[in-house]
Amino acid sequence: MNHSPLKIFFIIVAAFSILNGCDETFDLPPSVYSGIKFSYSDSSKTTSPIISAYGLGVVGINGADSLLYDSVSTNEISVTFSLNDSSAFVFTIDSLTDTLTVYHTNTLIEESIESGFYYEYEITSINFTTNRIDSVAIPDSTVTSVWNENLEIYINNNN
Amino acid sequence: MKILKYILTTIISILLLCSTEYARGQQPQKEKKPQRTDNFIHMEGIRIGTNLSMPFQSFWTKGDRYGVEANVDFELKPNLYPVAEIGWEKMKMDQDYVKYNSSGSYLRIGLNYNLLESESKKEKDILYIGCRYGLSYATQQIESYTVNNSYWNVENVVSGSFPSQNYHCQWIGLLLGLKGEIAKNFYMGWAIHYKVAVLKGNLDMPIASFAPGYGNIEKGSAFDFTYSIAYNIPFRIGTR
Repeated sequence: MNHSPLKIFFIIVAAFSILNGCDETFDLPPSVYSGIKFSYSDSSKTTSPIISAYGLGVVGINGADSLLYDSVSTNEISVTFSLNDSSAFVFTIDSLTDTLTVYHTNTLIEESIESGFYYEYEITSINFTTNRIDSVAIPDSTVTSVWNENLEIYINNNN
Repeated sequence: MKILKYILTTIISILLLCSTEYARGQQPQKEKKPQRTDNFIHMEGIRIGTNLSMPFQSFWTKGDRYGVEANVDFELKPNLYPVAEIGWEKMKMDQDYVKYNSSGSYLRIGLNYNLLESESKKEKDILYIGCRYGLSYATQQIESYTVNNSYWNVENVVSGSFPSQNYHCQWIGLLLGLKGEIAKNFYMGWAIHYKVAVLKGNLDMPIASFAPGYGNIEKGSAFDFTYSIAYNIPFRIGTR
């Protein structure tokens, strides 16, 4: 076998010297979102509601609440829960406003030593006003880094 | 007349033949070199070395990783070198949202098999493949961690820490490397290691993240690189 190990040796050393110039980057932990589906109680109504949503108590720029969705025609939205044991959201659905409070337990998850920690949630109960919301179902109470439909809000047809 | 010509031709031929044989006999005999029975690259005695790349591992791994390592090998049979590597290593990860450190000792044992051969006894460079079994004992601690939710209020932040934990890990690995003799009995070389963790420390929360001598054990396998210098203490082992 023909060989010149020292030559290969120095080539490899040079390659690692070049790698030395690379910056060290770290991945952030995953984002955890809860999926909420909107359906009309009257299943014959097939149009999508006009939705606005924000977290109650979230203060945005100039003191305004920070909108997650602003008059969007959709059947599905994603919201992020707070790190406390409850998260309250204000929904404006077809011009009428309701508040939905989700109570949850939080479980600390280690993504990796590079990315650190994040929380997953278990929905334990809910409260809501009934201006536009008819009822709320919990198809899946576990909120993880894998997006899932956790809540389904039924909208009454009084319009 | 014909008979006389035949006799002369025969005499001249005999004389020429004799003179050629005489001249060949007068040439000095060249010394024949003793034939090598094989083309193996041999190393007598043991080779003791250290891993020079230990302080520079942050070049190719994440975090601040450093340590010391000593290694020893010898030629058990032609091309076959049992190896032992022992070391201590520390890894620190210092970021805004997690501060982690781990340190501990490790032992790797295994075999290297040389793929090269040489017609010259002086040729000592080897290209080898090898296998390793590794074992490490370590202590890790998460000094602090922070979780925040950027949407909710600024004060929606959770911080904490975990006490130190002791654990051990085991792994197996394959490697490819080179060792070149840069001066008489002094060797320098590198190796690329591929390792698979078989026991990753039985911790629930936080999980064992780093194994000395292995690297990050959160993933099941890892590549690593070593760059070593070694000195061969020559003496005969057995009757080879």
